[in-house]
Amino acid sequence: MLGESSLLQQLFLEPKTITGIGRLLALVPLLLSISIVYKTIRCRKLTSIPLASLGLTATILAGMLLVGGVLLVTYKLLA
Amino acid sequence: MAAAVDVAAIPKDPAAPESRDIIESDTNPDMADPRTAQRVPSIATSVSLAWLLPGLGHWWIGEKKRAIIFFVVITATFWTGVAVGGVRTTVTPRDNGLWIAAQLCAGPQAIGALSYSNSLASDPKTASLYKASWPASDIGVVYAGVAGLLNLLIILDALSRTERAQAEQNRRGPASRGGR
Repeated sequence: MLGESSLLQQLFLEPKTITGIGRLLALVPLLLSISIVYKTIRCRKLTSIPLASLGLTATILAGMLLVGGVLLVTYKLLA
Repeated sequence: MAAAVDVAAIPKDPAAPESRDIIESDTNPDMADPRTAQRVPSIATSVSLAWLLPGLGHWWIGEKKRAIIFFVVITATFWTGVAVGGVRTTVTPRDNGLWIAAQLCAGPQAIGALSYSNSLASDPKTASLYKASWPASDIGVVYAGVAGLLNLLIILDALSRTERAQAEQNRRGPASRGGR
């Protein structure tokens, strides 16, 4: 019981440290959640949800990386 | 002067698109339970249940598989945010502004996390502890906030599906209605 309490405390009380590429990778599960909820609402058949969600996740991720890349290049050019 | 036309007497064109074509998820092949399909759902109940527990509104109107997906995704997203940023930093109205409003859309689980965060903040022993540094603080807040906003979307979907189920029941007429 004490061990479980300690584990929960460690899990939800103490913040995690995220550095480097982890900052970018943290985007993926969030996009997956958004895609799954959206496609679960929109898709008529539940069997089509996994593939549709993965496709939407990849599309949003690619779009955001593209926008980020364009902004980075613009910043470098203006600096 | 135009003659009065009995609209009900006009034969329905089977090829004509109905309003259900507006949203492709309108048809409900997963509504397998005939008892659920027969009863007339209440909007207030389905919306309240959807807020109380993510997906419960859909469960109540018979969309059980969708309900399970919604529950798992919303709960996992919210508590992932809390785990990344820590409850003290993630669910607090003092530092996060309007994000708390978005987080509270996730239901009682957000209220529980807020209550726990407030109890930590008011305790002198823990008031200065468990504060996340950037970027974990922002990531946690955004995860929990997006979970709440997604649940708001799910609540609206439950509302929409309930309205459609009511309209369908009304179209069939009182003879086909069943009780709970």
